[in-house]
Amino acid sequence: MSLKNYIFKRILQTIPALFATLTITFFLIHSIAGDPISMIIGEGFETDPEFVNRMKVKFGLDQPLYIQYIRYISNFFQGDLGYSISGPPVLNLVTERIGATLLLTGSALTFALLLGTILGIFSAIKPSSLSSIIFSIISVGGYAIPVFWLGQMLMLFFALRLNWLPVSGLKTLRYNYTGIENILDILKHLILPALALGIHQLALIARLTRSSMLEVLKQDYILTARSGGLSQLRVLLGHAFRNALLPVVTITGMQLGFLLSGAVLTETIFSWPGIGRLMYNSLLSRDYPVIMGVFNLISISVVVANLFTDILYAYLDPRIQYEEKI
Amino acid sequence: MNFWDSFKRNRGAVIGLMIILFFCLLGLAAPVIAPNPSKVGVGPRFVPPSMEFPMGTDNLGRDMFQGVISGARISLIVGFAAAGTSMIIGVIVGSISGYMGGRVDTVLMRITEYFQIVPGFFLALIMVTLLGGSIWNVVIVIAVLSWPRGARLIRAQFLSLKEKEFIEAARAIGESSYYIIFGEILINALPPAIVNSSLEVGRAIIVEAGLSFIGLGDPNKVSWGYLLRNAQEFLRSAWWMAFFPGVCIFLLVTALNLVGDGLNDVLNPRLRER
Repeated sequence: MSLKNYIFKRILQTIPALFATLTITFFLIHSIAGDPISMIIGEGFETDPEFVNRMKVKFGLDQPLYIQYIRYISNFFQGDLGYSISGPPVLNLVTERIGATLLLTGSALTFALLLGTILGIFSAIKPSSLSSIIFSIISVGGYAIPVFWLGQMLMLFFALRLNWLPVSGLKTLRYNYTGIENILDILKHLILPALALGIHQLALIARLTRSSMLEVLKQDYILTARSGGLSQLRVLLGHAFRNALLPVVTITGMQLGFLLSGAVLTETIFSWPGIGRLMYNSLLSRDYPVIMGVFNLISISVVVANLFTDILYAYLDPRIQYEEKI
Repeated sequence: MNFWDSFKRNRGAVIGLMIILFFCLLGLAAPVIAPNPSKVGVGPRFVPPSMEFPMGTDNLGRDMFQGVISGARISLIVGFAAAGTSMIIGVIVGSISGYMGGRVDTVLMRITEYFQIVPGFFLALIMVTLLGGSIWNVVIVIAVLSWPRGARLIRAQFLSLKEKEFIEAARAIGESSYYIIFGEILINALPPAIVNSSLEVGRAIIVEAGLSFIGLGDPNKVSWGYLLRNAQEFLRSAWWMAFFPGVCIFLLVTALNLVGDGLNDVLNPRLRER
């Protein structure tokens, strides 16, 4: 199968996942969340039946379920995610906050990738060094530490005790920093939440880099490169690392869902004004349209991220058979 | 070499097992040594750790030590119940998929893949919000979201085992498919799923703590996530409120992962090098 056909087939495969997500949220809303009209009016109020009927017609609730379903799907693809019970369109609430979340998750992932690959490589080539000890601690502890508790401890130590870094928020609201000062201010606020959020990925990437380095270093072509008289460093960076990176790329692309899940907790702790905090607030106020809208958007981003990772992987590694694996 | 002898050689796993047993004992004894975890005004408010209150008291004068012990009980119940339920679902789906093959397999695997792609913690948040956060709802939600890993492991084992000679031999002498599935294949397919289950307990404990931290856990039960949620507001003045529950989660989950690694060495010796 050619790469083009493979890409086409993978795109086709994501379509059922998209519909499954939208269908699940549609029926969850309709079965459990209750009657939207009484949610808007508030339960237990005397209501004019004429008014209720007009509202029903306005929102299309007088139509049979399958019409409502089709409308819901087509609205979604036109970017209409409905309205928050507090008024504003869900899409606006999301777009206002998506930047902060991308900044946070992107930084967390960058930190995890940089430190994780370095730790993984060094502990693979020098098993009894300091980096190896750090590797062991992180690879065991990184999986077991709850993101939100790590966040609390970092805040406690670096912000509240040592006063090195700000406690919470995205920037200092007291001052109206501009230009470079503003960027530095945001960076300072970013460090602790990004560290907390990145810890699981750090452990994962370090482990993966190490095992894949160990695997690659055993291969014949490394021996050939060495016997050809290349320096140790060139063998490691030019040959081994490039090939060892492949599984790391794949796993990284699959981490979006985990990072966004972690972001709900991290943003809650650090009052970071992103999607995670929006989700948290909507859960507490039972704002179902927002909850479902955020969930739909996030599921779909994750599906698309997986799609791109698969395609990138197939592109990077020509050895991959594009056939369905058993 | 028997199971225990070879497990014993992994020192981390033995330490892990002792930590787990210690927490289990605390959990079992909780009604006796921590009868009133949510009783207000047992001591003054915000007492730092002392002889009388080894883990201090919180903003309402509740004894943190009792809270932490009650939390151990909740975490262990949720962790083991969720991992157990998840394994049962995984075994059923994985066995059917692997043994039947064909269209049934394709459909089941598509569903499994979907559950692996969907951001689980988000779905857990939504389901618990809609269903209510009683401890058994939390168990069911975690199980429903975590079974795919086990199902895939079991299925992969079925696919390779059902082609093996001893299975063919069992068929040739006329054993029923029922016996072949349960008596021959499943028993040999379980080890990787058991290792996965031991890791699943730790994952479930972290997810439960996360749900309670968000405020969606069982409101009537003092769990570690609940204690950490309560601690957030008072981080500046009462570090102990956040410190002890978190250390316990960290210790218990680390211990479970170490035991998982140990079980992996014993049960899947071929994979030991990885």
